[in-house]
Amino acid sequence: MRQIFIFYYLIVGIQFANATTILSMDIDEVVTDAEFIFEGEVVFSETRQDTGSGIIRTYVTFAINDVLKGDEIGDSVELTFMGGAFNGEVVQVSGLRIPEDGEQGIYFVESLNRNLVNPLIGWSQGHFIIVDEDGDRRISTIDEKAVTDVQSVAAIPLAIKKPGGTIEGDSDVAAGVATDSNPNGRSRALTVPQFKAQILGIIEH
Amino acid sequence: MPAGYSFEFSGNFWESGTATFHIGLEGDSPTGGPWKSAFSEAMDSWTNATAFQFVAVDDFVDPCIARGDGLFGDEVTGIDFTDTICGTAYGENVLAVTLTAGTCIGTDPDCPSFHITDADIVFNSNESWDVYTGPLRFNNTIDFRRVALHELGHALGLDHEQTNPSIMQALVDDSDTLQQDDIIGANFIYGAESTQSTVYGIDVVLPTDATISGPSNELQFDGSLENTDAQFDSKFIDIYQYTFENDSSIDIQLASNEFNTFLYLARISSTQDLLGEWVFTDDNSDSGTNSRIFEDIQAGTYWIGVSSGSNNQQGDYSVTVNSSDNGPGGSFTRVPSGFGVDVEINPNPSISGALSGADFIFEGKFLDLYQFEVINPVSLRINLRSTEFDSFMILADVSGGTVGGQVFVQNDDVSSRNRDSQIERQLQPGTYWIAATSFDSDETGNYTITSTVILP
Repeated sequence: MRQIFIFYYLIVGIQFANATTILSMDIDEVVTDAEFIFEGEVVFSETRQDTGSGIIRTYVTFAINDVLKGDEIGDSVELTFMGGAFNGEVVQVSGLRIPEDGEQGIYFVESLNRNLVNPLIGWSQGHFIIVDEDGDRRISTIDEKAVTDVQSVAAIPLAIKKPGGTIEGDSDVAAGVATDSNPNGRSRALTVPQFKAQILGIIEH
Repeated sequence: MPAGYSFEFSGNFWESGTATFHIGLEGDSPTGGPWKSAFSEAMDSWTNATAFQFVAVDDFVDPCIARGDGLFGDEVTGIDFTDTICGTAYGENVLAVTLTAGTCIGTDPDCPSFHITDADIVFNSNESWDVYTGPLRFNNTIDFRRVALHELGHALGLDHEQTNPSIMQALVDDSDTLQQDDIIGANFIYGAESTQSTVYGIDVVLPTDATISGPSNELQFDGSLENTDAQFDSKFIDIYQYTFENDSSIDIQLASNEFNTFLYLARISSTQDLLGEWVFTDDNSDSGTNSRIFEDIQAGTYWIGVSSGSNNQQGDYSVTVNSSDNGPGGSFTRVPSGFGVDVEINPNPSISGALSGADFIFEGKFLDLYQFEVINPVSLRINLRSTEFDSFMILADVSGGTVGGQVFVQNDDVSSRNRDSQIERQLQPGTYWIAATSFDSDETGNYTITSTVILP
């Protein structure tokens, strides 16, 4: 499976992402550079407007169900995303997907302290959704592709590794994450325990 | 949406169809000339190819300084290289960001769509930039112009695109110019004339003013039969598509000083099938060898075909259409569905409707039903759009006259940022219902349903 996956990765790797906002990352970089990784659920969100700049931000509170990386910080965490709607006015950041109320997911937080446009590292690359699929909790990307595998690609020699490309902020995944956009493929998505085990495996290495 | 295309409309747009950018970036790229020239070229690409107009002003305004009433959406658009986004860190690997601001459409506090009044673009000055064409470079030096081209697409209201080749696509090869899907998308939002291909292999012109809603209208357009046109019955033919929103009396005159004209008027269904009872032709009813059709027609979408009476004739022509309504709306048959709600037999590819308090209530939501027939197997894309409520659509197969037909598919949102609904399906011959409703209870408002054939 792993060899097939890496073969797929190398073949697809000759296609470049184009014309957008974020450099693509390896799942290894996403895991390594994230300060805090947790499974959680959005329990509250509100927007506020900065009186000086006029910029609107959305403050999202997550209930923490499990911590995969980082210090235990309690039962909940608030993350701040630039953009949102406030009193009939709206500010939108291209490619930024703000977690919605009730959303469950696995979140890779770049920093708990820095003031970032999007606190999730690599934007869509650090943002995974948990969906119910026939009673099983499975992992999806934020644009509803089933996540079917996660493999470290750190061991691939640089000489044959995909060069860095760019991705759209609200789509695409890090290298090392395999997806299936076919709706029939959703039942093949990793379950939450399977996904977390793969991430913990990368952390341990 | 024109057939065969799949651009993603964010639901946000500039009411004026114009945005002015202050592009006074100082300095030159390492190898590709001044930054502001590259940005200006990106703007021109959109302006020259689409109905949207970017206007460049050669001065600098800080995109992050609030003006006017102090809100971020200050209606002054700027670009800049910065090391933060207005004081907020970019974060790891973030290259460029477009911040759009505006006024929400409707009363939904989540503001699913808005009138754009401001769009500022900031580029991360900590990254490596240049201006170049062709393949992306392997050393992570980013091409400023193509990023600008992409971000300007967001600025005018397009989302990223996942199906067809597009500068708005997240993953494409090394394209650095606008693609046909980008152009069609911008023109769809801002209303320029475009074309679509048909199942008959003929391109159909979709004029800017293609929806005629009365009570009386006169429109006139000119064209030319040329040897590059499609042929029908060994004669060149041009086709124009118009939608009459009401039952109408129409008078169409086709005139040419250069060839013997032949005029077609044919109503088409949701699946681009010709509806036989609404097909009219004329050769020489008007003066000389000119053509004229005068008829009472049912509301619907029609193709006006311009051709010649003899083979291989070419030349300039003019078409005049006078229409007057025969009462509001269309005289579509309504029949009981068996669920306590009437279903409107409406085969049109373009339907305008409204959810209202008088509608049938299904699970706490107002619901309208439309019925159409599929004569030949077809791939269909159906869009339900509303700026007034969060739409929800169901497509059901009710062939055989049963009320227990199979529910084919339902859709809430096109994407996470577009709350309109879209269904794409390969449909076999049969009878189908489209249910137009809302995601939340008690929502009302206007909507449109458009059906387009997806060509192989």
